[in-house]
Amino acid sequence: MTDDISPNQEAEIDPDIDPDEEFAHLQHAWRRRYLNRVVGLLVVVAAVVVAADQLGVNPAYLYAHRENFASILLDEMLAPGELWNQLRGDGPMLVLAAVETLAIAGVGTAFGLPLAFLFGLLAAGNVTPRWVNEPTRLLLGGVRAVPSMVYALLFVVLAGLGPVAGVLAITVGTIGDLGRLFADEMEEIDPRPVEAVQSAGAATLTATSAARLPQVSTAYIAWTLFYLELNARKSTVLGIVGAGGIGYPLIMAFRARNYSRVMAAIVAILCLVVAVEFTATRLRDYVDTTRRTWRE
Amino acid sequence: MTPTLTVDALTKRYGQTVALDSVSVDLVPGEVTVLVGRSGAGKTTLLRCVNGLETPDEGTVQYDGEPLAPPDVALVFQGGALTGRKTALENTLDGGLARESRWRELFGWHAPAEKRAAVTRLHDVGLAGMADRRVRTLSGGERQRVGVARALHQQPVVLLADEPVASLDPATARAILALLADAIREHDLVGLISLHQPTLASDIADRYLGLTDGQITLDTSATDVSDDDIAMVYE
Repeated sequence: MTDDISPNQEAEIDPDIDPDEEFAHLQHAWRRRYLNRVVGLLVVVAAVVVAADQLGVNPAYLYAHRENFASILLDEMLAPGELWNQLRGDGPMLVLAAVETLAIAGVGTAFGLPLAFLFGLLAAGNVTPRWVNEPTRLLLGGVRAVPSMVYALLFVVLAGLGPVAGVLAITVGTIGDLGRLFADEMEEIDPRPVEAVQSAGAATLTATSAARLPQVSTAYIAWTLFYLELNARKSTVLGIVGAGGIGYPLIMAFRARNYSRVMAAIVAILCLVVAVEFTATRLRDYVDTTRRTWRE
Repeated sequence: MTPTLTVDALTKRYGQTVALDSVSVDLVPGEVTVLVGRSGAGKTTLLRCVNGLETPDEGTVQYDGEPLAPPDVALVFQGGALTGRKTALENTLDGGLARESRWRELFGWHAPAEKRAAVTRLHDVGLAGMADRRVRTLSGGERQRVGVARALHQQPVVLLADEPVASLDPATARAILALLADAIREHDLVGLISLHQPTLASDIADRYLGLTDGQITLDTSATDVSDDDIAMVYE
């Protein structure tokens, strides 16, 4: 897409220009800009329509099969009586699986955090020299390129079926994502306090602890809590490839076409994710002192 | 009878802190009143209460016997408080949002007449040919000129300015203050400008108002004021 406002910054305009002349000039520029925008929008819409058609997206087909979906949804998944019975029967198993999911997320995040912190510092352009931060960034990018599900499949080979593979997959994902976020956050800091402590004789490491980390600590904690939340959500599906957690009963129920059990698992996932999100948000607010002062 | 801005027994507290303590003052159009006082004396709170950004705990602000509210009262902020990504013209047009329809307001589709008027405002503040420049690319002085243009585009009856020239060099600061004073006198506006530098104030002030700990401790015309009077406010 073209930039929505592209002011004419290069053209030198006569400072003695009178308002009428300037207005005419502007209107001309606006008309051209408007035309560009309309053309740009039409191109994007056309591209989306063509791509969707190539993928075989066909609303008529979906509409024709609406009965199938509705019967599964209404008669099996959302039938209150059946769902309630399923939840009562599967309750203990689902709670255990949810706790395991939460543990995978927690342990995975905890394992990944120190490494993400370390790589985050190494990848920050304002902390380390180019020959360190560029390869580190590249490494983090490579780690991020592989989806968590693929890591889970790989670690199942290493650690066997079960939550250990899930923990390792979450750990590696956390290093890749959080490391990058930590590095980006670090590069946004105000360089002046760093220069101030450097002029007082601080070396890289001391300058980092004295002037860099204090500027990012709140953001780092907020990002970590956000990642805990995100990892809890990711962990719910790792079981699909046998890496532990609530994804396993979910995929088994799908295979057995037991849709009320599927719904029971979805309800458990929903409760888990909402609970983690609620707790993480509370913690983040508590940590974020700036936000606290604004609210008071 | 000339209309007056009447501030009556204005009180504002933040928790235990009393920011304004029963402030009463009358201001008349066409007169430049400079508000002096130390940091934390309540200058900003007074301006924000008059503008309606803050709701006073007690007291009223009236113009010509009617409650005063935006867009009739405009505030020029420290540093301009502009949107850097938008152009000088777009920032100026924001001053007229209250006059335009909901849809125009929402999508920024300004009426041609508004755009034409905004170009003139920019010329009035000395920014001929700059309408299409992004504010981010302008100098501090130019930005504050856009800030003044936006305030004037509101077509206010009361023009307030909160430290409008803080962080500008003295020459630029004088130019911006002259611009504000001219606008106040030419359009017959009630003008109240808070300033940290009394030396700059003497160029434009018709009247001095001093605040100390939320109370008015100085209210003198510029012809009668002495340096000691102003120094007192800062003690």
